[in-house]
Amino acid sequence: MEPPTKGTVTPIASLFSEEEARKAAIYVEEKIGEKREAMNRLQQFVDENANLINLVAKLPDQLHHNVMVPLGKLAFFPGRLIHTNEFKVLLGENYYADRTSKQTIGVLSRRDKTLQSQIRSLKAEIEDFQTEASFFTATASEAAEGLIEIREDYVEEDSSPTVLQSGAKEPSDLPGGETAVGEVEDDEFARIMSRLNELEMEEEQEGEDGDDRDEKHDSPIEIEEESEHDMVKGIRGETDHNKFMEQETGVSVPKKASGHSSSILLIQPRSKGKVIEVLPEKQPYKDIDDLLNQCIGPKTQYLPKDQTRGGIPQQNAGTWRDFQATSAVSRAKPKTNVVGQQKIESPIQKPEPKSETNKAFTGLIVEHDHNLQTNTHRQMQSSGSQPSKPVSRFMAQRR
Amino acid sequence: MDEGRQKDLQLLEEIIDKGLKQKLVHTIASRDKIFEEQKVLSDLRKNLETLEQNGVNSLKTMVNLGSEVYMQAEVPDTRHIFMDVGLGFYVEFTRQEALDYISQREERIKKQLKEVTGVITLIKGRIKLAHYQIQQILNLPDENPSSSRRRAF
Repeated sequence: MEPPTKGTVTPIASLFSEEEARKAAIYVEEKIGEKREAMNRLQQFVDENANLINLVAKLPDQLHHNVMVPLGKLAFFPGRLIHTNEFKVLLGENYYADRTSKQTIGVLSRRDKTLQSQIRSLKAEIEDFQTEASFFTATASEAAEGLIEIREDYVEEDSSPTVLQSGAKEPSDLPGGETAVGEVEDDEFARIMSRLNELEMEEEQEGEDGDDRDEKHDSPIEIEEESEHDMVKGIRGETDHNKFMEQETGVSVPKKASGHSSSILLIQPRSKGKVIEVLPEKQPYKDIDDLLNQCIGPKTQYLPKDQTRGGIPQQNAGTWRDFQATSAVSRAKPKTNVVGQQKIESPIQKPEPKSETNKAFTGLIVEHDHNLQTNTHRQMQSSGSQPSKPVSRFMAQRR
Repeated sequence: MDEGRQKDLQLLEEIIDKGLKQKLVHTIASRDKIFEEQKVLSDLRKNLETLEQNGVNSLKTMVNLGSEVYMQAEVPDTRHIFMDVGLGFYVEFTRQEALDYISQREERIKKQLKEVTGVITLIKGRIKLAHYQIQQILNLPDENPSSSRRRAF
């Protein structure tokens, strides 16, 4: 591939010949003339209208006026106007209305308004045409002067070399047996791949930044973990659907380990410092262990877990509210989504104390969020278990 | 030769476009004016005839004040009528005099119409002739025999 020529140079005269531009200018000038004529006609109407308004205002001053009554265009009778406060005004479509002098003046002034607006629009059009005409004349003069247009395609400088490199590399890596046509496609493919790689690199960098951000206000993930507890506990309450529960925990453990491993590692020191003292149970890994234990020997451990579930939030309602605040601030968006979720969950929380509902609410907010975030993970791992989860929770609540 | 033909063609086209067609448009417009006048006169005649037949001596009518605003008007005496005789002069006629005047004027207008129509046909004929000339100039080099045959006819 040879580097393409950098640009093109075209004299304006070849694009728009001077003669053509002049013709266009003349054409536009003609149009301006037409519009001017139309505007003059409208202006005449306006003048007539103003005169008529004067006349209509004056006519009722006397009982009758001596006038020449026209009979056709050529003949007149000497006569007089009678009923000088009765006018018949055309409304349009051959409908006439009987109006008094004042009402007629109202009709006429409304007509005047529409005429004025028409004149205004015509003026705007004329201005448009005038700028067009001046543009054409300018183009004509430019063409006459021999102006040149230089056009250069913009090429991304940093991407092109890598594209060429990767394009050279990757086809060689690929298995042989490609036709000449295939090579061209490969080139494109390689370019796309290199672009993708770049994007991935960028994303990774961004991801690191994102982790840092998480560290700063890590409450979301923290609460995610908590919510995971709640969720699992809720399921635990229901013994009949043990199988579902096992599936659930089975899913959630690898997810925590794989999907959020980095963030968990980052969070851990913080959560140890702050949270572990108040909420010893909530530490992620411990929880995972618990869950694993439950999977192995489920039924025995339910009772203590449920107890802690009831107890902790009451003790730490304050800290929870803090969490709630931070999470609410940091995730204004998800909150709106949660409303529906909250409605669904509300029966679960009813029998429990108020602070509990507060806590549960935050947990639920994040829980929902969590689901959204890890949706893809779950689907990849086991899409079947997801729909089973809400069902089992409802069932548990009913019992 | 070729150049001369080109010049002829150009000349003919110029005659058609700039001379004859514009003349035609003008004369047609003037004829339309005459038609209009004729219509006004015939309307007036019909009106006067109905007045005459019914022996109406006073009349109530609507006057257009402009912009399609009308007011009632009363004519106490319809026996006398003022008519425009041209150049801003108005003559007071009785109804019968007016009717005679109108018939005379209609005669004149008919004559005028005949004249103008003659002029229009003349112009149209000239345009056709010019078209024929152009056709001949264009056809001559290609098909000599056919054009000569046409000439023979």
